[in-house]
Amino acid sequence: MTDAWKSLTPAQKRAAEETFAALSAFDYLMEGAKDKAEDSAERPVGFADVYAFATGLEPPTQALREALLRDRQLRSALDRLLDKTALYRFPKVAAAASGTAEGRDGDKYRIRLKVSRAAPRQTYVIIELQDQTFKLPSALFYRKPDGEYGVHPLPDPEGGVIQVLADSDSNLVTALRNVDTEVYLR
Amino acid sequence: MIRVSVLIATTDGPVQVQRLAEEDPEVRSVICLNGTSEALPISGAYDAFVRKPTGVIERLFGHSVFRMDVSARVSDGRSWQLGVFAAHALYDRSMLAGRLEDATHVLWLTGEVNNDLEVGSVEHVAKKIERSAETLSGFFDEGGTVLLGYPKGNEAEVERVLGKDPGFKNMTLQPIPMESTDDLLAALPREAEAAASKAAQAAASGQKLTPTGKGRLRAVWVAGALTVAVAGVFGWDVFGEVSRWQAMAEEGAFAKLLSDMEVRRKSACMTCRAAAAVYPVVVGLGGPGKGDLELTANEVRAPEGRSCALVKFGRAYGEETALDMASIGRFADSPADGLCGMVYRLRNAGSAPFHGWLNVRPRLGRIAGARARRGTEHAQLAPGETLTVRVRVPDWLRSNVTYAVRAVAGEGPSDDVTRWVASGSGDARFGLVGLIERLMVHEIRLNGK
Repeated sequence: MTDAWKSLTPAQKRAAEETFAALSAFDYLMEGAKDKAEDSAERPVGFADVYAFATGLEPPTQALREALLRDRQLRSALDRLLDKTALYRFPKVAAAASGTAEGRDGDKYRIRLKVSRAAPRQTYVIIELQDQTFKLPSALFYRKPDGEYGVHPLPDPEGGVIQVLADSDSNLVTALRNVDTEVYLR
Repeated sequence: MIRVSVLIATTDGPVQVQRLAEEDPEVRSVICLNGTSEALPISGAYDAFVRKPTGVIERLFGHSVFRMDVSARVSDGRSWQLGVFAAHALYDRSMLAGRLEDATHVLWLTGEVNNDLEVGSVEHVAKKIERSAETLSGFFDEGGTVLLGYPKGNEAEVERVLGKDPGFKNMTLQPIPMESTDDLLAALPREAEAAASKAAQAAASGQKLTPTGKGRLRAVWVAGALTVAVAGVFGWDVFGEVSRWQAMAEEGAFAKLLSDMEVRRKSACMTCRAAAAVYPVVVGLGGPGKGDLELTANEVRAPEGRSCALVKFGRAYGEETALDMASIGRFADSPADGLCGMVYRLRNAGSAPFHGWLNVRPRLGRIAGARARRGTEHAQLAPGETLTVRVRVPDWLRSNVTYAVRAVAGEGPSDDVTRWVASGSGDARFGLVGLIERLMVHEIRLNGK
């Protein structure tokens, strides 16, 4: 994990964004898909899409999801980008006998899962800042072991705690329960 | 039974409180949309409104985390606080209706509530009323009662709107300007009043009624005679049913009475239904009121230089200190440090004797040996006499403990009532069969937590 991205000035961030866009255009040209330029739905997925996902709050498009599943290079690029843009990457969870995790402990942040007593089909995702001076994350990214990526926007913390309520069978909760899922806070 | 639906007034229309439930103390309170996992942005402010020391809900009702479901979005601001407060007060009394169809009353509210429980003025009240007109009118047409609660500071604005709109002129609204939440609590419908009101409506319309109340034989005879005088043979039949139930009550056969009333209430026989509606009203006339049940709580601490163990084994006398009332329905909290036990008393503060029951049991918090930490006593109490329940408090409490102190009064002893009281369930049965109930909570707090 690195804080390099955070240390960039807005102008530098804009430059990086343009670079990714240029790389994406380059991909596009190299694949000889010029004749499809007008049809954005069929536009090949490139670094610009990866960049948009890693720096945004929207879930990956279907095209990006499919591309990530089949293209190892693209996955590596996204992983590197998440590493650079994330405030924190959680260490792997020690494998439990059940293969599921009820939370994740890090030296800066801690995640806990708590099934709602009032609505047992829903689960609280509680992110605790170990130190109130740490930067506040605005999104949680995850990469499941099968190569599926996801993002969940985070509300503002209350008293050093960020709380998200989600359905227990949602992608977010099932991903966090899986000990092999990689988790980033950005 | 009284069921009250709470509508939080917003400029986009009324938002109904659909559900309230206690959550795990490890999470934060949330307000969710329509039972989904979508937490509204005001959840953080709601948590602060609930949780001590900023909030008032935990202080008054004894639990720190809740989940509330509402029918639509409530935006920022604080005018939702009065409605949320009312929902908690009704939830605490098991009177909160989750659906308008189930409600006997609608409580429409807007106002801020500060830490001193004062109700502060809010903006856009006129618009909120106008946007609620259709909902309130529909509920009124169905025969329900509508109470309109708002800050005293907005009184002139409300009067102007209600006087201007012909739709409101046709509705019997009960406007309640409020300076503090005490005004709200005083305005909450009471079982006997509601039953009386509904009985009056029933006499006029023959509608199905919901019974509630308490009882005295003389009043039953007076009411019965009046019923017969006014309603002839029909009244005589009603009076017959009521007298039969009164006889059951005198024998203390309240479970049988309740079951019999329920059968009559659901029957096709109009006389039976009318009797079931009238009974709780007439049976309550002249009986003890809640004010006749005086509840007190005393801390027991070891004298200086002595320990609770010496008090426990009779080697030293514990010193009693009376607790003040923190608020309506709540004794002042007790710090656990050095607390050997508690003494709760029920005193007959009325002018006539009654049979009293007093039950004390832990309601919230972990406490080992819970059986030894609760108790039920009952006895016939002449005016001025008291009933006492003592509970020991272990010196190794692991969490705060909230006790529920419940007093019930009736005309005579009853095994049914003793069983109901000992089970600690606070439900509508007491009111339905003519008993008076009073509930207080008391929290023992770990030091420094």
